[in-house]
Order: sequence, then structure tokens, then C-alpha cells
Amino acid sequence: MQKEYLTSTVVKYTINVVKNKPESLRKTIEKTNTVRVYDNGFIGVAGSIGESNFDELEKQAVENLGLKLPYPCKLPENVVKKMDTTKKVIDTDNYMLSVGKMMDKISAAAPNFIFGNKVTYVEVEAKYRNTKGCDLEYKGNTFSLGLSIKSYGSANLFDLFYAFNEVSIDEKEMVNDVKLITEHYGDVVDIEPGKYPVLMDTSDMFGKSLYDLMIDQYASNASIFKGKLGQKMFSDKFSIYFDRRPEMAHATPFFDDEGEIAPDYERFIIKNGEFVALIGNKRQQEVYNLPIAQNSGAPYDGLPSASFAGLMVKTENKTLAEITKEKTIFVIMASGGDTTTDGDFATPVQFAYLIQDGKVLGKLPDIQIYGNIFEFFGKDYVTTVSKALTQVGESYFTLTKLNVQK
Amino acid sequence: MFNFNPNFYSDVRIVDSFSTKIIFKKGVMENYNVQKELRAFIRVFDGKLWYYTSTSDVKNIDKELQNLYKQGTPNPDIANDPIVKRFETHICNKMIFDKNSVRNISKEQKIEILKKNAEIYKNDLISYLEYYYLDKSDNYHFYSSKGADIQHDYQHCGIGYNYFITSGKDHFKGRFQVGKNYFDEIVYFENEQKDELEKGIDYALHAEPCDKGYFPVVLSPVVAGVFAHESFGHKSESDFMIGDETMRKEWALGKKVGSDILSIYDYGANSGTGYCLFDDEGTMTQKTYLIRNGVLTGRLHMGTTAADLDEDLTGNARAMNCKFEPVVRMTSTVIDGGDKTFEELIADIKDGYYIHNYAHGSGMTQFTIAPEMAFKIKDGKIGKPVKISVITGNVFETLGLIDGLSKDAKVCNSITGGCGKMEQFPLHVSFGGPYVRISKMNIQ
Repeated sequence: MQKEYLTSTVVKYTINVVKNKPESLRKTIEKTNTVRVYDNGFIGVAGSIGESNFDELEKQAVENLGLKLPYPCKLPENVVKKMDTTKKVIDTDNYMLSVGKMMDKISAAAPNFIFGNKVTYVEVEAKYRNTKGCDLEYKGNTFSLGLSIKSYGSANLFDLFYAFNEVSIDEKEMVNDVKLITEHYGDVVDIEPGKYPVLMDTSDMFGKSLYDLMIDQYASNASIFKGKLGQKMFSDKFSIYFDRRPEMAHATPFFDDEGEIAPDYERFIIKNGEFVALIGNKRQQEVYNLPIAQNSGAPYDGLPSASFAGLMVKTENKTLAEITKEKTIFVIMASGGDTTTDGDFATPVQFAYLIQDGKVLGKLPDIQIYGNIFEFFGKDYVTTVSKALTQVGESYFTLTKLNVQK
Repeated sequence: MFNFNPNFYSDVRIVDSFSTKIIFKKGVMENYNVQKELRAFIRVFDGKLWYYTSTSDVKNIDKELQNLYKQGTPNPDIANDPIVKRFETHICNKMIFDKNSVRNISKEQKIEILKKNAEIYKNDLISYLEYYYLDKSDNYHFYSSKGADIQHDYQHCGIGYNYFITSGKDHFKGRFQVGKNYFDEIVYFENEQKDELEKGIDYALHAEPCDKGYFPVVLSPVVAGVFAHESFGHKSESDFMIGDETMRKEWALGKKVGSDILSIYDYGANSGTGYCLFDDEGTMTQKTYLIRNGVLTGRLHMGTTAADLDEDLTGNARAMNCKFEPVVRMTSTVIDGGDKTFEELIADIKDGYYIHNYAHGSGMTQFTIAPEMAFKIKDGKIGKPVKISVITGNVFETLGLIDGLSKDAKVCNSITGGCGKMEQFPLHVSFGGPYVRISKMNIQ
């Protein structure tokens, strides 16, 4: 019988911002413990919260083998690695005060707007060991800002959103970012319907099509990508992968919830346009005998499953000015889009700027954008950049060509 | 009782949670998980700032309270704070699910009902079938420094079937789900399931691309509910008005915001997954009409928003679970029924669409609904299935374009999704309405 032991401790300081000021502080400490046992093709899992007796958990996990839940015993072997990426980010003893001063500077940069939502600092510690000689430990932290920005008098719940996830704080750059996305809010420009370069959050474009990359769906011929595994599907420049590189994935362990470490901490689903692997877990891989990009997540008391954590698009190190030589629609907010089984994607755009040479020309009226996924990630794909707008942290935007309708 | 400091307002919410998740894929049980957790969320308010903590160490709540008091500034006049003054002080036991709790239903019973309802999906066109049983039982005990002492509970359970139909080049992702408050209500749904499966097969085999543009549309009760929730419900959550005087004038009660036949309410005493008799500040739910006959008549509140807008509490301070503080959220949001039949609604539509169910929806000033299944309406009759990416519209224009409602409103439950608001997703809610006709919507 093989066994796995996991612990996770997450300490989180969350400030809620209301009307530009901190309104509340929430501190939570969550420690979870997990034991998984494998025997004769089945898995037994037991978990607990807080301090725990692992002998007792192991006993419960063995009892749970009686549920006869099939799961292959393919544990990583003989890897011992410890990593601490923790950096000094903010003084948690004076967290409320520090965030209050930060918000004063940010809100002063955009006096016609109301800022709200959350500012969070997180410390993570994760441990994994198994009976096949694996012993892994990770410590890391991150500071994340997710501010809703609402123009005074707007009927929207919020009009803009400013977010990043980093291990450093540069208040001056934050102020510059906020100025950039707010100072042309009142300048209205217009465009004629047609096909334009569009720069938008990559996840908004891929959206629900991510599920078409999942193994159950693909293996059942119910994916828009059916029959394309192993084939070139998109532009040479387009790659999707799970990224656990310590310098990129803040407060994310370098190993997944099954103790697996990817080569160079990267596992590709689409590599240079070729569909190379599916999203799934070890059980599904065994059932379908298809390649997966191993990236497991698991509740503390449940079975491992495929996780989307760390899913990224490969980026180029180009500036906004470099990629917007011609008039480009910069989509700041677009929600509610979807893709048909033919790959036709459409979404309303709630907020977009027209930009050129990295400069905002003005705000566009309500528009709809649409296109086919095989074209906008194929022949029309230009690039994806990681610092298109926010100078402080990572924010992924893809440039491609899409049809615009008013 | 706890050692509350009189110079602060404090409340303690203790939740004893139980949940079950059973998943079968291709006929094999792949997951069986029973989760039990006892946790407390503690709030302390000094009149200026709130201090929160969440702990599973419920034996040491007093210790946590004292730690929070150290962070705040003592306020001897806290009882007169406009937020604190509004909080209700019920002392009661309103546990209604304890005698028929899903905690007392055996694993075998849960699996049996799940398997029995799976028989219907034995069909050569189905290339994949996954089915699940889910339940949730939360026993709440709420205490406040004002004297509230409330015991209440929540429960839901349900089964769901996700399947893929593949035919030639095309495919369809179908689903059927039933969510109820009691296990005894989950019985055999053969007719409903058969009907939905037949529609799914027809859709997979025959759905055609839609004509893009502006058309009259009829929404089914579940889609109408999503529309009410996404398009207007979120705008009725009054936290978005805090600090914005212009918005207060713009959203003054009494303003005409929709057609004369439109009324939308929120009410936590409706049975189903929106049931929430007391919110997480100890306020009892009330039926709040957001729109009545097209006129703005109410909005949803928690303590801070009610004080800020000088209005009354409505029982809408809700947290996703005991790890989060409450924020303003909906419960059961429903469009009132009208005076027509479904047939009458579609009778005079020459060229339009019927939206049968949805994959997802979202709501800003422009709202969207992505249909899962939709049909053409041609010369007053339901026609061929069509593929639509999204239907969209401006919320305020669309509310004014509602020109027909069927008689009976149906409240729809969800045991998998629910409502998302920033970091808190999913929260169990319900929504619904009658069949709703809208004279013009953008089809894409």
C-alpha cells in the first residue's frame, strides 16, 4: 500500500475597500491535512482542518478504500526539494494603515471615480511527501489588488477594474496605471463596423472553449477540437500551458497536488499552435489512454482532479506602443461571451478604448465583437503580451483581428 | 453566551456544515465525498471599521473576540451608531429541516436514486454520461452583542445528468438537474428527462446557425429568471450606490424603469435554493419588490448600505460560507406572472426566437445570456432548433421592451451553480418567472 501526506497552510489578510477607504480587515488562517492511500487500483482519502493526528487520518483513509473508488497509483518517486520564494512585501502589523495610504494616493489620481473591492496579502506553505521517497516543501507569498472603479453617476456596478498579483509594491506605478485607464474615460470616439485589431484579456477570448480541451469531452467526440490532437491548430506563435515557474507563479507551489513537478515547471496543452495534450487527471489518462498536461488540484478531503491553476498563454515582451501601430480596440471589460460548436465566438464589450501607438484616443460606444476561434488564434493572431496596461504586475492581453458590430 | 465588550458591536455566526458529493462517470463511481465542518465567523465593529476572523476552533471564540477588540477603538456610544441601531434582535429557533435532514439519508439511498434516474440515458447517440448527487445542510447559530440568539437552517439536495450527444460533425452538451429542499422530493423524473433528452437529440441533429440581428424573443421561466437576476437583481444590490450621490438621484424610488406589466421581487422565504429565512446579520427576510408595475420600488440591503442610504434592512446580508463576511446578495428573485399563455405569447411573432435554457449569463449595463438550447419562432409557431452564441441587450431598454408574460411564475433552483459576486462564488440562490416576451433583442 502506497501513501501520500499533504499539509497546506494559507494565511490571508484581506481588506475591503469602500468609497476609496479601508472598511474592514479579515484575517484567516487555514490549515488543512490530507492522507491518501492506494491499494489494488483504488484510492482512499481522509482530510482534516487545523492541527491533526496523521495516524488517525491514515486509519480513516484506509477505511475509505472500502468505497472502491478507482484511481491509479502512479506516485512521483525519490524527489526531495524545498523552495522558499517569500519576499518582504508589506508590514502585516500595520496592514490597514499601509493600504489606507496606498488608497489615498490611488484615489487622488482619479478623483472622478469611486474605488472598491479587495486588497489581499497571502502567505502559503505547502508540504507533500509519499512512501516512494518524495519530500517537497514550498513557501511563498503574494500581494494582490483587485479594485473595482466606478465613475460617479454611472449606472454600472463598476466601469473599470484594476488588478494585479505581485511580490512587490510600487505605488508610483500603480498611480500611473490608474491614470492611464481613467483619464480618457470621458473622451468619446467612434468607429465604423468592420474587422479591427482587438487587444483583450486572453481568458475572455478562450472562455468556455477551455472545456473543449478537457479529456472527457475530447474523448467523447464532444469537443470543438475533436480529431485535432497532435495536429497544428493555431498560429505558430500561440501556446497554452500550465506555468508553475517560481518567478512567475506567486504563492503557487512548484509541485501540483499529487507532488508532480513539470520539466522547467511548464506543461503545454498547445505548443506553437500544435494541440499536444489534454486537461485531465491520472484516472482519466488511464481510462482514455490519451496524453494529459498533468496539473492536479485536490480538496483537502477529496480526490485529485485536473486544475486550471497556472494556466497561461505564452507572451512576448513587447510594449503597448510597439503592438498598436495602427488603430486598435483595447477591450477593458467584456463579459458574457460564448462560442458555438462551430467555434464561432461572440461577446458584448462593456468597455473599450481606441488606442494607437500606445496612446488612448478615447472611449468607444457599446460594441459587439465576433470571430471564429480557429481564425483569431490562427491566421489573424498577432501576439500576447503580459504587461499591456498595468506596469506593476502581470496582466495577459492577446492581440488579434475580430469583427466589430455596433 | 460570549463575553461581548460593550464598547463594540460584535456578532458570531457558527455554522455546522454537512455536504455530500457523489459522481459517476460512464457508470463507475469516481467520487464519494462527505464533508463535515464546524466553523465560526466573528465580526467586531467600532463605529468606523469592521474586524473579522474565521476560525474552526469554535471552543475559543471568546479568545478570538478579545483579539479583534484589541485592533479596534473602543466606542462607548456604539449602540447609537446608525448601522448598529438597525440590527434586529430576534431570539428564536427556526430549524425546519432537522427532522428530515439529508444527514440521515444513507449512502445507499443516495446512490440508488441517482442510478435509477440514469436509466433514461441509455441511447446510442450519447457518447458520454456523467451524473452526480449533491446535498448541503447548514445549521446556523447567530449571536450578537445586541442580544440576538437565532437558530435556523438551510438544506438542499439534488441530482444532475450531463451528457454529450455526438452525431457526425456536430455535438451537443446536454444537462438535466433537479434541486429540492428535501430528499423525498427527488423522485423519478422520467417524463421531464425524456422530453429534455429528445429536445437535446433533435438539437444535436438539426440545429442550424441563427440569423444575427434584432428579433422578438420569448424567454422560458428559467431564462427569464436569469435575466431578472443578472440584468436587474445585481443592480438592486445597494452596495454599488455607496458614496455616489448622482446614483442615488438617478435610482430614486418611484422612477419608471420598465414596462407596466413588469414586477420583480426578492424573497428569502420562498422554498428552494434561495431559501434564507435569516441573513448573516440576523435580519429576517422580507418580500422586497424591486420593480412593481414598471416602477422602481425597492432595493436590497445589509446594515452598512441601509444606514448609508437611510433605508430599512431587507435581510440580504449573505456570506457564501463561514470563511467570509456577509455582503449584499439576492435570495430568490422572481418576475411576477402575467395574463397570457405560452401559445398566446408566440402567436403573433412572425420571425423570432424562443430561448429554452441557458449555459451562463452575466449582467452589466449590457447583459448577456448564452443559450444552451434555442428555437426559431416562425409565423407564431416553434420551429427548428438554432445555434445562438449569445443574446444581448441594454438592461434599461430591454426592461421597457417586455410586452408579454405568461400566467404562472416558476421558481428554478440550482445545486451546482449559484450566484457569484467578486470573491464569493457560488452562493445558493434561486430565480424564476413566467414565459417572458421581449419585442426586440440582439441575437448573435
